[in-house]
Amino acid sequence: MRPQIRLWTGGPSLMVKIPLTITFVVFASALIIGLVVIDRNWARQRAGLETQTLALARATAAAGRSSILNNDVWSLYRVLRQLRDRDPDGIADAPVVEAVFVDPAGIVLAHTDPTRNPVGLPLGTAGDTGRVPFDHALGAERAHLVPAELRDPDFVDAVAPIIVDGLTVGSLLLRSSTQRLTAQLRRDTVIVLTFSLGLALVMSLFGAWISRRMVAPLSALSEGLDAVGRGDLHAVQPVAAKDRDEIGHLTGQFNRMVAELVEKKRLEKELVEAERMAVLGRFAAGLAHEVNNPLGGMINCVDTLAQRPDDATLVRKYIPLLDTGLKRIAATMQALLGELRGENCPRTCKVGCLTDLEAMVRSEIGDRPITLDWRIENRDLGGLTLSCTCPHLHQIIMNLAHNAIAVMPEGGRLALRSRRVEKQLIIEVADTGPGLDEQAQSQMFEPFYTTSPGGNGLGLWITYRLVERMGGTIRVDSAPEAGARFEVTLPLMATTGAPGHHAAKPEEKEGATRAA
Amino acid sequence: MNRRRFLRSTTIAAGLAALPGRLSALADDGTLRIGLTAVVVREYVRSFNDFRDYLTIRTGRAVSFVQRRTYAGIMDLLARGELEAAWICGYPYVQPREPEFLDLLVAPVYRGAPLYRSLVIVPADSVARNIEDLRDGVFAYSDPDSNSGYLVPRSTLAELGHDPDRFFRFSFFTYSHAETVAAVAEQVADGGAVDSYIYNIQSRYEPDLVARTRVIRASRQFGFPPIVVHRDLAPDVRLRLLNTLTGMAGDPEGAALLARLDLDGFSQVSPPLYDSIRDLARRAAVPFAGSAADAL
Repeated sequence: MRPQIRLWTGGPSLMVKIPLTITFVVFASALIIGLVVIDRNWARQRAGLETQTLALARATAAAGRSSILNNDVWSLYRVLRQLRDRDPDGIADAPVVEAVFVDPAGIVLAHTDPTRNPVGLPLGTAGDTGRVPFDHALGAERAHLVPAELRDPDFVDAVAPIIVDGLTVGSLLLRSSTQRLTAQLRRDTVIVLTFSLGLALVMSLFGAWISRRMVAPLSALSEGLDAVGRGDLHAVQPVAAKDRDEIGHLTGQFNRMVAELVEKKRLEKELVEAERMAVLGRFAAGLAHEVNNPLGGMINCVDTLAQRPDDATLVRKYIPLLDTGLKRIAATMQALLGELRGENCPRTCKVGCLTDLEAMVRSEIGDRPITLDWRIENRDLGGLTLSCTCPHLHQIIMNLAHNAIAVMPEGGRLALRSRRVEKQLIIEVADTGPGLDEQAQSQMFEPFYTTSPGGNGLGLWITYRLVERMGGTIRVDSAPEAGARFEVTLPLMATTGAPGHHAAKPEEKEGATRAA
Repeated sequence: MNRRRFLRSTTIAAGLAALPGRLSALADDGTLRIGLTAVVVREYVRSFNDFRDYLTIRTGRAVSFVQRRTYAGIMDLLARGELEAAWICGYPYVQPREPEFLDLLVAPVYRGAPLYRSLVIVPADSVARNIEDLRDGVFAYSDPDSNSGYLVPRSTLAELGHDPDRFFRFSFFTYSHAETVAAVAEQVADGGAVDSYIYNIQSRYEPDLVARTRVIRASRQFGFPPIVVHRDLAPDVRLRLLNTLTGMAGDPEGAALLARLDLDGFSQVSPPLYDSIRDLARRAAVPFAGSAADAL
């Protein structure tokens, strides 16, 4: 079974390129959008965290104000404990990891981690929480965030001084963690990546589907066109067009074209068959005519002789007639069959022999008022040879010249020219006779086709067969009242090392070289 | 009996406070305002609401509990006649008042007697074995007017030959025994002094918090914080309140309430029960600090 979609081997297939492109575009788009959103979200959340931390520091400082004045460290601690306890589920936007009230000398009044930061001692003396940049807090005149360059990037530190009557009586330092934000960022990134990949996967499936849908008809088209190119129309199957888009239109056109080609081929075949039968018919009729003509007289002669077998006068009179008739039939048969049987033209011919032809043509013209334009030159061959014998070449040219002279009884102009085009010798025989209509042109090379009453219609047939045997072509260029121009194209072979089975024979090559 | 129930006692109190005479602030609409201090755990709101309702029904008076952050705050209200009764610590009770305006009504009976102790507690994982190990540490007192939460530990230090004001590196007041336990449990303080009754009832209601602390010293017994009445409280009301309180243990509903408060009952006691505190205060020569304005 023929697969519906042939594997494409001429470079990256559309089946791959379309899904890949869609996948890449979707993935890149989703990724870029996602990352931009994450980045914006991160910046906003970070700003929000800073704002909240600062606001929380202000509020906490305000809540501790009277306790600081009263030196009520337990209340201060309870204020800080509320910061810690306000988020038992760990969902606050600004999770406070550390907060401390210090007096103006930097002595701890309350700390969220009292074990490491005991009351009454400088901050951090008993633990590692000296990371809080509390130096920054002591001279502060207003609540502010510790500048980013002074603090650990994992935290947001806010400082809120407690100022009473213009005097700083204490400060609050509050540190919230960006850890939750970072975790959120990581989760978001994973989500975006996963989503992008998932979307890209889905889209690549979609792309595969759509490209299959789009490319399947194209593949079939391509395959069909290949088959059409090979002339193998039967291998072409109608391409299924799924959509009514450009591709659908194209496949529709293609299907129509193939159908028409098939029909045309069928018609041509019929036409050829009909033509063949017509040719055969004409051939049979011509042959019958050629044979019947003498046959009628000969039968009469034989009948007469049969009635009077002892009449010597009659015998003497009729025997030559019978001889003439039989010879005529034999000549016809020889002309018809002899050339077909022919020799295999084993030799080569240089065109030097053509020079002798001019005299023969002139004698054929005789005293008719025909101007001869003779331009056949030996040098046109350029050292190459023809695969034929001189008599054959002579016969070709003479037949054509004969016909040309015959169609110009009132006179005219006969031109014979030769020229070489690369490895071909082209011989032209042109006349200014009445020309040939299309039907005549199509049938003129058939045997027994003739337009002259005296002709047997075998001259051009023989010419045609000779040219064909030499591997050449003959064609006619003519129109009624415009003369006719026959053009014979014969292949030339190099005298040494040239391609072709004749030149391959050493003796011939040697002979040809000698002749040169 | 005047029953102008719709007049709020505070309005009357505010209106009469400006008049001369110490009796003028007492409610004359029958409302019984009882001050509570940190000698009880006011956070056990439902128990105290039930206690209030119980007293209201049994005394026939509209009972309300009044709370201030410090002992001194309650003492001030008593002095101004804005409370009919109060549950105060023995230390404020023994302070001399001239003229005396308080009468001892009852004292709770705790584990068989109207007595309790002062405990010194430390965080559970502390290395301290006695109070002297807390030198240069941070210490949490409950209230400057508390016997068990201030007077006793300072007296103990003084008996051991230390200056209570210099022994600790830093000390602070939590104004509540329960908060002192929290301060020690959370290691804000290296040690603290608490009422044994409060500590024990907390171990019942907040075992996790108490488990983070450890007792390193228990004092000798002192008279349990008493319920006092204003000397000008009408005798019939005083009697009714006295009978209600002393009768609680014999009444199923009262007994249930007492059980929730981890008390055996209330009994009439005489002032000599608090002589030991009086002696302590005198010997420690700690000046009475109970005149500060109510912080809250």
